Amino acid sequence: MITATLRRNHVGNIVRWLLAGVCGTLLGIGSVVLAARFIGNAAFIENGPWHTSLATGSREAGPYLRLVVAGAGLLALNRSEAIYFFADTDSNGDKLNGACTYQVAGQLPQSRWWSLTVYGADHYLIPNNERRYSASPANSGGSAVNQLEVVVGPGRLDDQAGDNWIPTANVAHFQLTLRLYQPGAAAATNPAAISLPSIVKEGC
Amino acid sequence: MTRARHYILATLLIALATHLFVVYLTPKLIMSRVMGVMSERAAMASTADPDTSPATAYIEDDRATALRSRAGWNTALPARRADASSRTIVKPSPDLLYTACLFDLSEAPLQLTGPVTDSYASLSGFADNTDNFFAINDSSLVADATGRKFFNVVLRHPDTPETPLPAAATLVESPSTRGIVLFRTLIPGEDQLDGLYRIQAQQRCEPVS
Repeated sequence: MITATLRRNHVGNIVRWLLAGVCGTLLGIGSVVLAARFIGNAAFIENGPWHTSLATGSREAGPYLRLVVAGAGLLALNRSEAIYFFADTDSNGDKLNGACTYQVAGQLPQSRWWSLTVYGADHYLIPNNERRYSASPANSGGSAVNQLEVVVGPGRLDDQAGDNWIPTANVAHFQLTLRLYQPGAAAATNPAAISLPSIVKEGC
Repeated sequence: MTRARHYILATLLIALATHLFVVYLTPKLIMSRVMGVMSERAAMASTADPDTSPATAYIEDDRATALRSRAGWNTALPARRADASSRTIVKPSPDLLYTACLFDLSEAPLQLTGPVTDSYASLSGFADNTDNFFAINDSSLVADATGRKFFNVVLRHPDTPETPLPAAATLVESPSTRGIVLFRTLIPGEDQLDGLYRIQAQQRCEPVS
């Protein structure tokens, strides 16, 4: 009788410790995900649909921002060399959808070179027949150096002149990355206040 | 009651330990995985590798031997222009040519050299926790007597054995013994791609002996 009780207690203890281990581990991982989402993402600066972080890649990046960058922007340069602006939504706040067509247009901040690239939800380039993934002064025809005007969507606009188009191949969700190499002082120090291109949905 | 408190305390302590462990180790694990994949691919040194750059056709020195003997470490790994099949590193830019170099400074410093053209080019270093600890670009380079500009950096770690360093090189100290160096070369137009592959072929990453 006594041995049976002892054994029951023993098994009960093991189960409780295991439960504590599993719950603790899950709680630990869950809290990292939450912290990365709230603290890591709070390190980002908003500007319309765009967001950026002044600490990307730098040694001042806290552990949570470092975690976010390791997952979504590994090997990104620090702000003196390049600034990265990311957009997951259009100027109305709606998620970017590969089945819709968007006009990305406006003045760009001063920089030595810029590029606008379309990435899938997995952070890689989206396969497309045209093998076009980005717009830059190299393929944006006559655009002025700091002026952006590009169509992003499954097809060209009907009345569109030129080939300023980046295909989205109808993917469910995509992201835009605007890179500014050797950015001017305004973009490097106060990215929330500069003027950036708008992302306007033309139709789906 | 006291026992229940013990279990709750244990759960919270395990949660805290797991949290710290995941936060500090994840960037290092991601970097180490990326370096592992790059080293494996480089060591195969096969033209079947989809990331092999056309630049390899312009490399004249015996880089293949170094590649095999160092298993892809401490040697320049030129990648071809990124497209939808480039899936080693997130968010590759299709407007840049990347040459990576996996560095391990435990035995010797590393010399990084490469010529630049008129358009944007940069050389940057990333520690094993993903931090970008240095970045220089072509506009900060000073032309030599013949008017040419090139990167010339020596990378070392405080634990790297002391060796006489090459003259004229900029000395950069890495916070970790292992990490990744990246040459970025801008592609200002399609017509310049072949010329840039020739530039890429001259980007080097060699231990200082």
